[in-house]
Amino acid sequence: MEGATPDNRLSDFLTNLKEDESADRAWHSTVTFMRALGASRVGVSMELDSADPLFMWTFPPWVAEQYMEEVYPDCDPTLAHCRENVAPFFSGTAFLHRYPDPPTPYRQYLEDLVSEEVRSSVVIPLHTCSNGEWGKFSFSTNFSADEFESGYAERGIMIHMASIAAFNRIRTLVKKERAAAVGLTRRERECLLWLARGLRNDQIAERMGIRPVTVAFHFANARSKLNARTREQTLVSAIQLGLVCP
Amino acid sequence: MERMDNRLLDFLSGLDHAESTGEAWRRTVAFMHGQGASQFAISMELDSADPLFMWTFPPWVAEQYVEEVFPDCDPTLAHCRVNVTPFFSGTAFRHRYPDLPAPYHRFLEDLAANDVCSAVSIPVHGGSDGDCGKFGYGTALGAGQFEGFYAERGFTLYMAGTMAFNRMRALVKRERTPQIGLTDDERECLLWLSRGLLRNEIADRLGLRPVTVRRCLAEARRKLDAHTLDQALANAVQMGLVEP
Repeated sequence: MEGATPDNRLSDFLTNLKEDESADRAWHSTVTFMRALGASRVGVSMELDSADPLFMWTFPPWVAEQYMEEVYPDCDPTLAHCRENVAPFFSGTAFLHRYPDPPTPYRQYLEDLVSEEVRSSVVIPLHTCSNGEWGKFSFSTNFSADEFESGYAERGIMIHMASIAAFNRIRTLVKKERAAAVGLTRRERECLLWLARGLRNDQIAERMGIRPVTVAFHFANARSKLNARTREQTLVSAIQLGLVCP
Repeated sequence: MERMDNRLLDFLSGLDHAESTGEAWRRTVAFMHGQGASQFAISMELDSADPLFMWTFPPWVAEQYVEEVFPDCDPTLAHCRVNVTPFFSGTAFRHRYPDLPAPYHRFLEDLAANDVCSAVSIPVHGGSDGDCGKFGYGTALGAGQFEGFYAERGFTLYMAGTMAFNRMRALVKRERTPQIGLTDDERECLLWLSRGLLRNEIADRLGLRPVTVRRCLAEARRKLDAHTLDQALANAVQMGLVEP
């Protein structure tokens, strides 16, 4: 009874994405797919609760630098939109007339993007089940507003569906990679798990059949691996990274 | 290829304006009826202790589903856990699937009595393991007609359903959290604790006396029904009361 998604290109993309085992591979599949749909540039940004926001884009470094220094986060109206909404936001110089008062740094940024073949973009809000985790996907072209809108009418649904799947997959892989990089041992994770479930050090020691001083030792190691100041911060970081699921 | 039409865009902005799960659900049901659905359903957090179901079926069908079919006898659920592709079900597709569990078989017949002969279940994955949901769209059409219809309108259903799911999940989270009733001071104390400040540093930063910080944390622990402050903090982070 299994059916295909309504277009084989999307089905194929979703299948490839599932098989990509690193965030870089998944991003590469996404870029290839979006270019085939007509994108000149694509970007994804993720506000993950475990750490700094994550950006992946096909822009040259100067664009990324200008964006980070002058636009992000306060002067980017698409961010404010995406945090709260699910409907798409049209951006780029081709759509500037629709938004009478964009912040100056954002207007400047859009004007500079024209030299990178970006005149019209759709920014798609992306939401997850986890609290405080969200992001956006931008699909940009060199088209005029009219051309862009007719292309979007044709392909918008496919772009949306693919961007949701790409975001979810990349986010999962990024989190896995970040969590693995911390290198907590099984024992360290177990100590943190019992801590999150309300046990005190001596109770944790008893439950795990180790000495209380060993429990303290595990906490100290976990703290240094997670670069945390306190035991409380260690616990919260571990939860956010998915290393501990209370 | 299906067009991104204004009805779909209007539906999405309508979802953004819905400020309660109930309202988002009403808009979704209206949209899906407009797309030809006889019944529509959303199931979320299927792998959690507290799954959530919303549907347009009469209550007795829903009750029977939860009691007899969910979670072990629902082949669509097994499919949606591990796949991103849709799954066709309903009495119209039963012949494709010879070994249905008996309770699911009965459920399909109850659905048929409620104008659902053909249905599609579409998985929604949050990204992390066990973070799974689905939505289902049912019609009175026969299998061949339904597949023709899906080939024409499937993307619209796929996208509208996914977005409705995401919006509603956010609203559900929001509606489920405030019952704890932490005060601003209690929340701030937990927040700075999660960011690695010591008790006296929290007092300095918030302009509170150290004894007040201790009292706020103790009160937060009590409200969060935790044995220890560490557990209270873990609960608060997981519930989204504190965003470190």
